Amino acid sequence: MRPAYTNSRQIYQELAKGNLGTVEALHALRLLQANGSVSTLPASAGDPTGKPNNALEELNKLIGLEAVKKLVEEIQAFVQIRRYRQEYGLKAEPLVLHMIFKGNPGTGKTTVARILGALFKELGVLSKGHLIEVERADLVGEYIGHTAQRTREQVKKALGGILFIDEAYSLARGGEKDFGKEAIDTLVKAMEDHKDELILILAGYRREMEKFVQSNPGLSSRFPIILEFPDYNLTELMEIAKLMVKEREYRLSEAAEKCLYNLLKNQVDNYDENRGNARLVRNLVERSIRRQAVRLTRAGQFDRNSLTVLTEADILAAAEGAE
Amino acid sequence: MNKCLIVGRPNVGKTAFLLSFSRYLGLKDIEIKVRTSDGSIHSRKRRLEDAYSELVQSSPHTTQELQSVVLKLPVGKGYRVFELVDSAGLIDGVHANPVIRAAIAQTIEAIAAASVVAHMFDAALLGSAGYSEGIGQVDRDLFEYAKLQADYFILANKMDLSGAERGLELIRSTFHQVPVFPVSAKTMEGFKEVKRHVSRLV
Repeated sequence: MRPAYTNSRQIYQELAKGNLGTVEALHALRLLQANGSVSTLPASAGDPTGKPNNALEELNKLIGLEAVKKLVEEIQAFVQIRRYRQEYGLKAEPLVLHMIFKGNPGTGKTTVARILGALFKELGVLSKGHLIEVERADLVGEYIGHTAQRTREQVKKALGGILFIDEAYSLARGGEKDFGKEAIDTLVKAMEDHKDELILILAGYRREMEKFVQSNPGLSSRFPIILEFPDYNLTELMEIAKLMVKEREYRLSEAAEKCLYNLLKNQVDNYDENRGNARLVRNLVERSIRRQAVRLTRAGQFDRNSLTVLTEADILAAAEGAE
Repeated sequence: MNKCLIVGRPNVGKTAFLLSFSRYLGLKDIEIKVRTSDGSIHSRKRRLEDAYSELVQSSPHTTQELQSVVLKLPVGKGYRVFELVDSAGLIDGVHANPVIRAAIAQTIEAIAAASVVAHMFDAALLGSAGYSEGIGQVDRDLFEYAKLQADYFILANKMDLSGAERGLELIRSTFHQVPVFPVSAKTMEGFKEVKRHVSRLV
């Protein structure tokens, strides 16, 4: 009796060793498949039919953002308990989940918004959980009446998900006669009309957002959740870089790590406007990966190891290209 | 990038087809990416003619690794890019040479990763008067396995030789409900149909 194989890798190995002929190997593979056993594809290949990603897990994988994680956990618990209370016929607070995100660029606002969309879908709060990202130019029109129409279009696209308005204060920029005011009014109305199928997130720099909310008294009561996104510190930025590199199946050489650290430290120490910006770290990592590819192609020679290592030269070349 | 894997017995013309099809799509120089069974990858740049004399031989098991070229197929107004992968020939039993065994294992493994599998036969050999073995077991099993894994079709090669029509008939009567394309890697006969079919799949 031939042994039963539990994965295709074993079959390939036996075939290479000569313990199985090609015909037998093909038989075994078919048998394996018919029994519906696990495939040997690496998990990273992604399985769209697999169980849904746990959005909270994804959030917890993000570096830093402790306050955000805590608040999201609260929201999740609140949503769940509210549902149980309803089942027992207890009073349930209305579920108002519109939010304000305050923080500098590259501090994770959009990423968190996207994860929240998925989370609310898992919780059954939103039907689709997708994210529509807009800014002033997407909402404000060119003539009277145009703005309301454009804003409604964006709202319609976002129904069942999250409408994320970046640099929301720019809607209040032009004063009374500006069409931005019309956009705000239309949004406020949409929030009422579609309160069960739309979550609105207003995002932008901390100080500007605070001014914006203060000068529009109707807003603060409609946006009960306020999340602050602090700048990343040096340690967090390094962790982010390392995680990104690892996720892409690369690694930093020792010199490269030191070099990256110095680059980031320089930014933080000099109060560079981009200090604490994770997006720049991502761009740097991605550019380094391309520089590594160029370096390897030029050398024309590589093995498994050199394909995974990012060197100091790659980082420096990437940083130079950024300026 | 989608992969179209060519599989079949030794000497049915897999490598010749890879090169001819590249030429048919207008390439003069080709860059062949070679992936050996121990996992290393390197690439060779050749003029097509040179690649023929270097890679195509009449002795079996000339190809002992996966070698592939990246090809562009015009689709609509744009192009679709895919990788055409040539593999080591498959035999029924166990080969005595460990290098060839490793190459065979690598080929079988590649089937699971391919999105399209082109199973190639030597129609002229199958149809020749002195050949009595018919379609072998490995081809039958390959058919059963590969069609579960990928978009599957058959290439009946060497249609320029005599007896190939008989071979083609044998193939068509053995394997039902799959597309069978009669081709000749030598004369490029039938390439138009293959091109149209592949551009729909990749």
